[in-house]
Amino acid sequence: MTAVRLLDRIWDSHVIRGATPAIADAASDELPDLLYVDLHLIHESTSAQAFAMLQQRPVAGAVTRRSRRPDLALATADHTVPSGLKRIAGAAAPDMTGNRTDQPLLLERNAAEHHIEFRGRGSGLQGIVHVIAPKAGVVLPGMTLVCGDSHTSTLGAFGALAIGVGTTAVGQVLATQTVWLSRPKVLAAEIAGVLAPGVEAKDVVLALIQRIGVSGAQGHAIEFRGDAVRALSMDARMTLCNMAPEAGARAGMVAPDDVTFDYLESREFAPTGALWNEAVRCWSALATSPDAVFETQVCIDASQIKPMVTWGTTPAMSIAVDGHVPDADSTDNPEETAAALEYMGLRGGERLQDLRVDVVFIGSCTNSRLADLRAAARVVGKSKVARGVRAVVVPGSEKVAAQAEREGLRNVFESAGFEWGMPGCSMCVAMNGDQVAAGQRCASTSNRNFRDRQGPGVRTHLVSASMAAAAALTGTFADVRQLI
Amino acid sequence: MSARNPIKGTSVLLEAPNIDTDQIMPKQFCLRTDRSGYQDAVFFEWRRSSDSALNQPRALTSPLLIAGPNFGCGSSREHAVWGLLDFGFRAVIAPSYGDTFRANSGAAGLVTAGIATADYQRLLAVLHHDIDTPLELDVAAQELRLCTTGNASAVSVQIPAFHRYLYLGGFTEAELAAYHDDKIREYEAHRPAWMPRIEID
Repeated sequence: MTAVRLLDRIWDSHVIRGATPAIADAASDELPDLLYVDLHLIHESTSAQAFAMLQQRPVAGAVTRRSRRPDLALATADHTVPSGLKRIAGAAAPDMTGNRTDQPLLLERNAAEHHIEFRGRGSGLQGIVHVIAPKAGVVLPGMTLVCGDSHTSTLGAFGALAIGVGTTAVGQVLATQTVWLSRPKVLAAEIAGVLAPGVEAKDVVLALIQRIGVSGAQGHAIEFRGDAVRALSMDARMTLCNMAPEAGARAGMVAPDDVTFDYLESREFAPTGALWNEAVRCWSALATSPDAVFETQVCIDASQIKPMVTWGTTPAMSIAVDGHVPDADSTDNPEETAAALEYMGLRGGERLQDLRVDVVFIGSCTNSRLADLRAAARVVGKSKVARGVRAVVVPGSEKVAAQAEREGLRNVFESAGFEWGMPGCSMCVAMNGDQVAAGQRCASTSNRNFRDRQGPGVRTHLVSASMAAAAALTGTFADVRQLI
Repeated sequence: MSARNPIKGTSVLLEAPNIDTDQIMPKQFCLRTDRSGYQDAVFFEWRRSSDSALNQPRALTSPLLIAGPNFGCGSSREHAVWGLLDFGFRAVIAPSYGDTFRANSGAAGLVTAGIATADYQRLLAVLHHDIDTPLELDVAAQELRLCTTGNASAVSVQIPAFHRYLYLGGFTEAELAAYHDDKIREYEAHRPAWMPRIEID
């Protein structure tokens, strides 16, 4: 028996055999496979043009103007829905250049027309698509799933192959329930040992990205492995896989285990009874075999990881909280570093703990789950948000929000002076008007510190939920290890 | 030789590495629901600066964009590809690409040619000397020809076989998938029973 990886097992069981494109001058390993899609997640900002494809160009043969498998799709609105937060003074007005359509409403109509389940605001089930899907138990080990969003990788935490695709592919999935993909290589990220208190999955993945760079996993799926990964909750595993794209990978994965099965059991769409037993038997056989070989391997000692903060304009530009911002000349790409330092208003050699934070954002598909809110609330305790800091929490879904209220977390945040927003992507992608003002510094639990991401001229520093809470209380990048 | 190939003309040069799709297509334009008309939106913040290469008159007629490594990393928004096409680019030439951006480009008809780092440096040297150097990207032959005065030279580039096939044949990925409908049905008949189904009334 040959050694096989988790990725290969899922891949091989989803290839539509005999559907290789007949291209004479290409080697077969150059060509993509046609993969069956077990689950299609849909949000409002990358789907309108895909639904329109069904109308405009009915594809030859069997494909009709209808969605082929509405029973394998789930839709919600997250990117553009209002959070109800007060506008930040000086923040750019949301630029509605061009024709603005109510995207959530349009998706609700498209979903109804195509008999696809839509979970909208007020249903109690709405939220960030990568947060609501796992809570519904619709993401299962061994499945393939796609969504028109790069952070679909989040859901690989369940031992699924979860890949973000563009709108044309979304249209193809609606029409055929398949997607063309080239089999990626596998990068094994071995996280050995035990994380120190105050160090979270976010710090692990930021440390990995710092090590391998923003294109270090290009052409790969990342399989997260090792004791430190096994010890993580599903919420934390999702944070790890969420940021695989920031290292260049389209997918992140964790082999399913008892933590996965315990999370899934008795959720809305999880199998029950005899089917549950059969499923667990299948899922238990998915893990990479011990003698498997990876194209790329990276080992990180978990005990050496410290809370991380990004200082630049890519997620790889990060340092430990007690470190110093690098000098441009000390880096591999001085021009890129100098440009990043200039945009961020930083000098080489500066300490993060000397910087003043204007805004703190706890939310996004990276860190808006219950585990994140609990970790942040633990740091907040009975303390208050520092003067001059605008701190907001936007829970990932209506379910997360309701549970956080029941547990008293909302009260902890609001008593401290945080604002509590309605679920959605909010200040991560900043499409709903939740923007930071130009020149302001934002400690953000989101996933991208690109230029202008949170608004034109905004300086984003990516941190964990605990570190964000610490920044809110102290008004700077305090080392959360000293606060807990 | 066809109307689609080769792609001939001048180029626009954006040398920075890691140009992400948030730069190419800022988020506010993803509030639109059309598939075209993004020519004013592409690189919106960059074009606020009058000395941007994208504001030179040449940019309006150049079918080729030369960019630094890891072009199109980040968000999977296909609006970035539509914007480049609407602006008039037909191909990008860069040492490497974000995986999803490259897949999206192939599906939407924007050619993405990979170029070896040494050849990229040579290309930069030629363009720094004369930014108006006419170029010819032969998609079928995977070759970039530099038509410098009195001295033509060529370097090989890499374009994924599937993307070449789609581009040269004018096919869409969806129609190639739909062609295999019988095989998709066959697959569907044997899916595990525990896979979730989301039925609505």
